[in-house]
Amino acid sequence: MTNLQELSDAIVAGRLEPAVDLTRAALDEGIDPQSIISDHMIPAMQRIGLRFQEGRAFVPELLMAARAMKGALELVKPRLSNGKSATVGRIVIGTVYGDLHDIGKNLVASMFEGCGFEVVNLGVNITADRFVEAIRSERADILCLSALLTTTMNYMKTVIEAVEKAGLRDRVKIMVGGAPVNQLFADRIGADGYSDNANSAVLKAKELIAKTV
Amino acid sequence: MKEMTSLERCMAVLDGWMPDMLPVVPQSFMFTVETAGYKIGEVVRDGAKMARAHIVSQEKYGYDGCVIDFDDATIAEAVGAKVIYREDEPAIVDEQQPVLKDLRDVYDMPIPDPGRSGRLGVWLEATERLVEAVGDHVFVMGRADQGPFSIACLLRGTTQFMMDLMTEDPGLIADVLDYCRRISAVFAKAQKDAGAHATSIGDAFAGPNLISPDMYRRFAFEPERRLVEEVQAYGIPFSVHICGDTTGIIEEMGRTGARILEVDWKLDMAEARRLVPESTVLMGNVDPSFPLVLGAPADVDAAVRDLVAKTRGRRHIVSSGCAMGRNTPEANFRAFIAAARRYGSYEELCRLNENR
Repeated sequence: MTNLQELSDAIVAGRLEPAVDLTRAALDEGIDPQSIISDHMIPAMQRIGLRFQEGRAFVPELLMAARAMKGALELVKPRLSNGKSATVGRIVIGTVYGDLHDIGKNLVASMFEGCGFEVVNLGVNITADRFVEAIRSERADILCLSALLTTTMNYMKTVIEAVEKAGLRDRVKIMVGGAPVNQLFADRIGADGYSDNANSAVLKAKELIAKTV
Repeated sequence: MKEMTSLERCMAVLDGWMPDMLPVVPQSFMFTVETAGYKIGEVVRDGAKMARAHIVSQEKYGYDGCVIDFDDATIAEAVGAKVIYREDEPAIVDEQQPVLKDLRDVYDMPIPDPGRSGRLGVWLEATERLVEAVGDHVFVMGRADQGPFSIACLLRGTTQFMMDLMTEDPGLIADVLDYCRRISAVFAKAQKDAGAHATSIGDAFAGPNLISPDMYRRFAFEPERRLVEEVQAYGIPFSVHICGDTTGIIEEMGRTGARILEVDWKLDMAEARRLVPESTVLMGNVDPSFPLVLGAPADVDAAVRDLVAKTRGRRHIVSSGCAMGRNTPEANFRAFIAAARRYGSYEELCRLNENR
């Protein structure tokens, strides 16, 4: 009988091979795939996320955990009854136009994925039009905007205005983040949420989704 | 007290004398370029325009020193990294196409020639021209671009290097960082030859935004320390900047022996002052986002007042706590300098130190 606590621990420790082996064994034993995700993988990512927020884990540890999680998830996904995991919500994320910073945004995307969200990561240097189009085509619940420069963060306002103009503002919650951004700025441009780290971004997103339901 | 020139003011702080007022040396290259009416994209390959931007901006605002910084891509480019140039924002390394496809490739990497490789010569020309124009009375701090750990991230791709730290042989990692230290030293020493009064690096990726203090101590500290030792032995004061809340590593940063530390805005300056040697000059650390871009002049004034109270002006160069945005309102920048002059005046400094 596979000890799924070990799977959880392997993900937290960022150990890809044991995470994959334990997942395979669990599936072979007929353990419910959705339960493997919801009861073991997601709690593991929540654990590492909390450590990250508290300054007890850093980017290398988070990247390794996300890698282990993704490796395990790839085995589980095809075994889910409808091929899809029960999602917490759909997120479109990207770094705004003019800004090519990637790492922080990718960490946040990984944490979302690891915590059960479906994530569409548009990449960097994304125009307002592309964000609007993605909200539509991906039926996003939440739009996440990243910027690392005091100049490019102003583009977040442009994106929010474009979303309003497209008539989509009621359908999507908008979160912003990145080094120069703070709560004051987020309020000023009309964002629904702000977070200064990957873990609290997940908590914020869950809170926003709970409000819409 | 007799009025000092900007250069004398900065050197007084470096040498541990009481200045006539606290010097102001903003990390302002993006703002500086705008002030001179240029776009960063047209400046980064033109040493004359680089120098001109600093000359115009320093003369207009009357601050005490210029930091010759233009982007984070120059050293990496000089050893073969692909760089993305943009009109409005600094050039950056294209990390999707890393130079080090395998860490072991480091053994075949070149040592750059400061005169010829990439844009090193352009930066050095800027230093020479700036020193020539204003160096007799204004403090000129060269920037030797990035520190060892950051160079390694840029050459390997940061995400990959983060995972390498967890999975690769520590000896190999050390060799990569040692190579990066050597190429950083080449550029830093050339800044002295070009006439700079001090030189500096940013080693942002070695900070707590990415790695733990423990990893900083294991991987980043020793290459930084050796770099500082080598460059300062060459006869020029050296400054180190690491972004993020470096409270957990500022003590080690002090132990690198760097004569100046550029302190990020996320640190409490009083705590930083307590944790590093008394002889280390602290440069910083007003938040470039709020109040400098988003706040009002009154917010800037209050931030500078609180800052000076925290160091009591001891071995302190007033600056921003990271690079200032090019969209910093002029009124805020003027308020920043005026506040430093007011709260950092000789009389105020005497008063701040009397009460203790």
